[in-house]
Amino acid sequence: MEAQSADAAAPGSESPPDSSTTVEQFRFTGSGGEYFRIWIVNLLLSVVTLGIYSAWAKVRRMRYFYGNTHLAGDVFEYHGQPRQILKGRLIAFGMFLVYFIVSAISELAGVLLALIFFFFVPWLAVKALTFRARMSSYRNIRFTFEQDHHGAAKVFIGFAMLVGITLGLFYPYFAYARYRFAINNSSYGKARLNLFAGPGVFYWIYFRAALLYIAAIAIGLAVFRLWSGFGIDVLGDPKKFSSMLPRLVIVFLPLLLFVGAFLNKCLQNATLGNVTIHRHRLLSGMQTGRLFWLYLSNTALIVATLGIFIPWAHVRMAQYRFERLALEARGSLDEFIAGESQASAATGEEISDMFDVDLGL
Amino acid sequence: MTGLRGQYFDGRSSLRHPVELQIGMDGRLRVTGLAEVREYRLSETEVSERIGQTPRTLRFPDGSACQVLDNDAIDAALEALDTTSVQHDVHRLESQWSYAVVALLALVAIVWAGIQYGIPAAARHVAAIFPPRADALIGTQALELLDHGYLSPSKLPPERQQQLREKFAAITRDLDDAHQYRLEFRQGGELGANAFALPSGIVVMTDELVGLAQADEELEVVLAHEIGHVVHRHSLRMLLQNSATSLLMIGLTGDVSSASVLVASVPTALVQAKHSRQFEAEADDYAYAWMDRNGISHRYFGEMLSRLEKKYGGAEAGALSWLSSHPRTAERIRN
Repeated sequence: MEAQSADAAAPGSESPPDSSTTVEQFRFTGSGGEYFRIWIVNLLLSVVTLGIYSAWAKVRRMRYFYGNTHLAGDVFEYHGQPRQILKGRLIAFGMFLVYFIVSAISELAGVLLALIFFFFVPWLAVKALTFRARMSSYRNIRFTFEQDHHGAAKVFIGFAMLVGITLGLFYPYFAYARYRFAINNSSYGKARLNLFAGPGVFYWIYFRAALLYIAAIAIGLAVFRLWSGFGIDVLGDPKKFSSMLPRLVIVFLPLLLFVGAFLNKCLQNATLGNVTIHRHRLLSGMQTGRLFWLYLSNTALIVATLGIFIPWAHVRMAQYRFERLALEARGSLDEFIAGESQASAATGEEISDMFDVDLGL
Repeated sequence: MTGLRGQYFDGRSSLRHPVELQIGMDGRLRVTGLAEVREYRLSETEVSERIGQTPRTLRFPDGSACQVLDNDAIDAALEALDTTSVQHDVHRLESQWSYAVVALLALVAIVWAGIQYGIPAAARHVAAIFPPRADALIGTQALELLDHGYLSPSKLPPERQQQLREKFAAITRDLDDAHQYRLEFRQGGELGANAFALPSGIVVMTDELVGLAQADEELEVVLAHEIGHVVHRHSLRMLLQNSATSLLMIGLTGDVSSASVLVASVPTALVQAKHSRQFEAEADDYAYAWMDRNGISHRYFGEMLSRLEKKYGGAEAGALSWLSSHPRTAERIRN
């Protein structure tokens, strides 16, 4: 790690140190209407081709979001190739099918398969993060990811097992280690990214989120009891439960979305907001209230429009995320140097897409 | 010659060079504004696809690239040289609201037809690939789980059990489909008057159901209905259809994460309930065909269903009927 951070500083030493600090604001310029048309046409083509075209659709969607993300006058670019992504999707689809059938036939075999998959996660995480980094560029300089399989095994197997052994008390450290792994192995060109927040920040976040969660459940139960006259015991009575379901959703969904907004805001600010690259650093200033409102209104509108609102929801989220993200630049952004290029298979990212492996970043 | 303004990046550093780009009719590209003028052939230049209003990237063989905002000018130049791609037609579809509306309507129609006919037909064909012996592999522990949680040993006299087993054997005698048919009796407890079939061919009937029947024919038609589930391999097909439905929903909503799971789970549940009702109707068909073959009046099935509905309340009418696993009783009774 030490040698690499020295390497990252190398480009700066070529020009005289520049202490002038400017704040470059990220900007997302996509529009919901434009994205809706792209989304619906590509969705139709994907369905008509029985999913084959979905790889091309994904590339177009990614290119739309990258190409509308501005920083200091230039946009990001996505380089994923549809054929590569299709190959990954076919493998992921095959694995998904095997897992689904096996676990339906025998729960024991399903658990065994999931266990095998668990030991496969570090490799998958490295592949997915490498793919994502390699397929992203800014100013024609690609991002790269160090293939640290040893570090991945430590985090995704060792630390993940410690979470189980400590009954979850270790989880904040695990979350911290995951972000650290994903960020500190990433480079923009030759410049290494560095997360400078420590594990304490994550313990503080999860402690407050847990308290908030308990408070939300208590408030929810009280409101639900006032409204319907029932307590928690409706969960055990299928008949009462199904007739009370709408009220349960109306009471608990906003409360849980609020807890989710708080947690995600904290995590985003603690990770992206504490990253340095070269002599620059990122600034993230998300707010719980705004994020909660986005979650709530997006969910309500997606349900009310039977899903048609999905593209607008994606665009609104991206707008807000980048509105609250900035780069504090010490000196020029013109000095980044490209790293060596290497190919990366898309399989990792596509499989993790389907199995929803939470990689954090 | 068309003059285009762009940002040139040499691929080695993040330094931006404002340049002017000229695309000649000879298929050559001139980049001016750098220390020296650079020339590339359009045929060896990779031009990114047009997507919305995002800038285009022209990637040159030496690893350098140029970003251009003026999409129309690029497209005009490419068109003049007759080098547009298939993906450009996709952009044309994406740029008009009328196409988007047509796409939405087509998508709704296709998804509806797929759920109604496509997935069930595909599942039937795929199920046919598996030998009937494979059915026994599905839910091998199901009866043990039920015995553990809900059911208790039958209190029905052995003579009565034997009597009904003989009737069951008569219904399954002519079936030659490798299923191991067997009738089991249990006390239903919470499940009440009920009968269900396991994919292997075991049919379980509760004491409460036997008690509720006023004629043995009523029990026979219920058994025929359950055997219909086994003969038509509903467990395997349900498994296949549910996987296909889940995949379809994942595909439609784009990802399997966060809030979209919640949004996708409702239609998934609706589709699965719909498929379940289709299977119930198919098992009813089987039962009615059996009654016709054996000269048993349809009214036995109707009376049994009515009595069950009176005792437990039938499948819900109105909005909740969409979520119900069984069709409405009134629809199931045929003359």
